[in-house]
Amino acid sequence: MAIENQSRISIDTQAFLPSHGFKWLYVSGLNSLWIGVIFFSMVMGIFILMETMLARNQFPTELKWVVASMGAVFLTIWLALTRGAVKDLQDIANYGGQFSRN
Amino acid sequence: MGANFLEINTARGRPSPFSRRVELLVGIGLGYTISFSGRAFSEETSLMAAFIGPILDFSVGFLPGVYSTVVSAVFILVGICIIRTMTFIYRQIQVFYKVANTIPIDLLNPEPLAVFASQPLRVFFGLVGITVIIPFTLASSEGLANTVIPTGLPMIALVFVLFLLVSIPLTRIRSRLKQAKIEESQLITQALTGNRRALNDSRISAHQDEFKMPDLLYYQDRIHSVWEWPLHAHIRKIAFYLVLPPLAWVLETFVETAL
Repeated sequence: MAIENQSRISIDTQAFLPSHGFKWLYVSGLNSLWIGVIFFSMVMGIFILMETMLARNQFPTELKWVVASMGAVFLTIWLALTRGAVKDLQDIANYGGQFSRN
Repeated sequence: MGANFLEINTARGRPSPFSRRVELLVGIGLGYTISFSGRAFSEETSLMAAFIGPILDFSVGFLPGVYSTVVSAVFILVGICIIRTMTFIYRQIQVFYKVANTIPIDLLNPEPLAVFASQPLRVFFGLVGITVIIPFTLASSEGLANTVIPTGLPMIALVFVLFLLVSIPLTRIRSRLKQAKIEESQLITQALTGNRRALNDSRISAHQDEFKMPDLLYYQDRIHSVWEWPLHAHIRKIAFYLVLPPLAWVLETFVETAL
């Protein structure tokens, strides 16, 4: 993917984009925070479902929160950093005209 | 100044499919190692071990180890995210350093350069979030303080080192701004001492005939006042985060006193 504006200024952003099954998270357009919240809800949902339907014993509540939130936090931060860097390159490309001397 | 000055070739920073696959495998390996370490230390008293420990004994009839599989999957995802974030940060430094070397410096309009301060701040605030969470996950029953010192302090040091590394493009912009200021200032000084031809190389060369002595003095002051750190757009954010902890302490004291 290359960012372009009317001045034909282009910056390649391929270096930043996720791959191997994670690209769809990036191109989904969903906010990084929402992706984290959805992931957290999914893992917590699986834990609660398994405890309710399959388990013979309960696991400590706070630890379920910790495991579910760890994945969500790391995923959110990775995507947020990626999106932010691409946006920065977009800004630089858009500022192109302002940098011109004449 | 050409119109295509920002057609920057960042293809070198683009990872090959092979390196992407290697990163994925290393991430999976790291995640599995984290998960495995949790189980290996299940005899210990940490909260994580207390969580993973029962998983070993957990068997659900026709679905043995299903809980363990879910937890391992989460940790493998965490491992992938850690490796991807690290390699992303490395590539970000590469790409932005290249852009910082190429981008033209306009002393009269340095605000757009504030974009180079965004990455260090973003990485800093993101990693601070992780640094806060990790010691909690490893907290032992003997108290959080016993966990924070051996795990939290090295992580704070890591965040600091990463912050410095990600700031490399910003420091490059700062040094280029400083150099541009010195060069422009020297040209104006020469013009003020009688050598007006020096203005041919300055950024006001097109309007040099309109610049009389007072205008040059004003322009020199303007150049001197340019801040070498392009942080204008981020001052409020930085100030907010700097003020927040003392403000929280003050509010806490106020609440305690009031109650």
